[in-house]
Amino acid sequence: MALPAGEPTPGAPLRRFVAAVWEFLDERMPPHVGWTHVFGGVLLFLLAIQALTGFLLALYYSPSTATAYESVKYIQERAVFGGLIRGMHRWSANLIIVTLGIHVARVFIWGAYKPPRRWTWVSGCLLLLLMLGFGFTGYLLPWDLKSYFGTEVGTHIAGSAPGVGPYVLAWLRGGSQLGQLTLPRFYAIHVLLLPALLLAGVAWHLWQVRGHGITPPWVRVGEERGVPRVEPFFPFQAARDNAAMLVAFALLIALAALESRGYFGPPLGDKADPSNADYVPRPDWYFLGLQHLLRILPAGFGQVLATSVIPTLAVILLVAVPFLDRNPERSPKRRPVAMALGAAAALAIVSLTFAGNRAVRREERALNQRLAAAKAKAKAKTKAPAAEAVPRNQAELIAAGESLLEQLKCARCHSLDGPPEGGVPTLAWEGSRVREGWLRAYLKNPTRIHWETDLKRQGKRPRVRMPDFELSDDEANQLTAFLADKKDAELIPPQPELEESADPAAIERGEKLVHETYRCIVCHRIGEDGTAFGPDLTHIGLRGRPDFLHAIIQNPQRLDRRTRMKNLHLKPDEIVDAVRYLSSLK
Amino acid sequence: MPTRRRALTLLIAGMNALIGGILAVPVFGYVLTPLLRKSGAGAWISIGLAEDLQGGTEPRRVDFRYKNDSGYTVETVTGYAYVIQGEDSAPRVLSPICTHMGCNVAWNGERKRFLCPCHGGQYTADGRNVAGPPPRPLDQLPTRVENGALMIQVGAQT
Repeated sequence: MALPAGEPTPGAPLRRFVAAVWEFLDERMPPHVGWTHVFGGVLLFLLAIQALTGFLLALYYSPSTATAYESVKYIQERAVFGGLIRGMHRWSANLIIVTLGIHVARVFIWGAYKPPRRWTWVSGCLLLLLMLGFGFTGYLLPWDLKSYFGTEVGTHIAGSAPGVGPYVLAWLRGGSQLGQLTLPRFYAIHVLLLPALLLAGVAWHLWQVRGHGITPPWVRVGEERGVPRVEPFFPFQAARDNAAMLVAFALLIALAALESRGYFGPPLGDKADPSNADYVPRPDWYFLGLQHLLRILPAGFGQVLATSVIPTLAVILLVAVPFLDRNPERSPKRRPVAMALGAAAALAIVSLTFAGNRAVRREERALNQRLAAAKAKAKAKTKAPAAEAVPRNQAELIAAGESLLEQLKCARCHSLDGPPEGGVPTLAWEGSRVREGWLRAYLKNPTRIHWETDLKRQGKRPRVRMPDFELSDDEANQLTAFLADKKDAELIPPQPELEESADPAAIERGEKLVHETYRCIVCHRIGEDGTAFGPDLTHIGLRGRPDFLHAIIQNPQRLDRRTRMKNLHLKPDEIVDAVRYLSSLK
Repeated sequence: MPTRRRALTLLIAGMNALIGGILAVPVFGYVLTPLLRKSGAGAWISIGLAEDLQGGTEPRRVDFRYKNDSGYTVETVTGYAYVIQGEDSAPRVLSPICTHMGCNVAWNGERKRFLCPCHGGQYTADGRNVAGPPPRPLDQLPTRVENGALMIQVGAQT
């Protein structure tokens, strides 16, 4: 069936598109274009890698302070090839900055920013700024110590601009401090705004590159017309570009694989913690130079210079290069002033970066020495009396235990004065809750308690668990003394008569109450009996103090408002019998 | 030089195939993570004492909540089910998920039917599909009685 005249055939748009692509690739190149001209192509390739791996990371990433770190950890440790994908995203970002530097230097040395290509340079500068924006916003997203403190400093630098600074700071952070309001906005900028701008910028840049053609090397401005253009881009220059991409790709895979195996240190640091004072903030390496300016310039106006004036001037100068440099020559030999200034700028950036890195290293070393000295001092303080075998008085032990508790940062998981939180026991009344002997043994070797191992049987990981701090006997004694002293006689009234051994009849009555009358074993396991929905009671007599058992049976909600244990309203003498029975389980 | 041109074109194709091939392995592995990782067998949870749930002529709704490990967070999932009397007077537990497209059905006491709000599916009190598009009766959840508590298995992959 013939189509009406003028009607395009169904395949026509596709054919036109393919033809346009071929025409785009069929650019004719001037002579002396070769391996030096591959870096733009490599950048395009690395950007495509970023788009792909960025999409993959976004499949799991969750921009919330409660889950960002956990989601990145999930990607890093549990998603199939997750460590490699994340490593590629990180290393590709670094390679982009390096390649960008080489690309800018190449264009500068070849004088390719001169008319008619002045706006090609400007669009390239825009892309460079976008890359720095990507780096700055992406750095925060893992929400580990490094990203938290790096961004803390970074936003402050942006916020110290004279006049508008406080507004910039508040806008960047979304609130008064770095936190839940900041993370989604950095994420949105990183994955929505910047990619859209980047797409437009790359299109503009490529359009100009193709429109004006590759600069014929070393030809004066205005004398391009006579240069023959014979060799087509595809496949001759395309093959070189492609080979360079392959090299970049091999490098990228190697770096990402090494990183995911921990060759460059842990790929993910500890979770962001604003209260951490033992950390030297380190921005991403390409901001180290800028950070170093803050160190070497004096307080007051010097800081304004470092944070605002110098960076702003540098950007303006960079963008304005083609408009300031009116020399029609392209050969570096005939552009001594431009080459000297360019070299000086490059040298300044490189040496500032190296100096910044050295300074951060120095501070990290100093911090480590301080921490080691503090630890040695604490050790010496606690060790010395023990060596003399002098029996320590209780108050000293308790005080040493308290400082140890702070050192070990127990309060990161345990509440110290409130009710238990998130399934982690509170330490507010630990002395009323558990027996001292058990506590000492547990602190020395904190195996998981039985009802947590039931989670393991179901193939789930316990969400929280007690780390093994490898305490010495002394340290365990101090900590035990301190915790055993934490009693709350109002919440858990002492029951001295329950400490005494009971007659077998009471234990037998208690057993009947626990197993049959009140059926505690619906939720608790005792030996082979019952389900480990709540804590396992098989050895509760070793662990729980009778006072505590008495209090929790009497009214569980009084100890923990959110507990799922039910108040079964036992009569007073029934409680006593039940406690006698439970205390006998050893 | 058409031969050099051709060779270079092949070289480009080869290099890109190499990049694409190497890249495809981690990318597909990563994307298919949910299919490659074993999902949990489902948790057994107690919905009450079995004797409390016995008797009654109409399906009885029980609400429950449980913790579900969803990768990097543990979330509290809420759900409900209907307890009905089996022929041997043992309780059976019906999932309220319509077997057609997975909407939640609810018991309508006046019409003595489970009604699905989405596409008009209807089930009898014992879960048989009697009207509308559902292809099979309501699913029964695995149950067992442990220490007097009626336990059901939730969250299993079906």
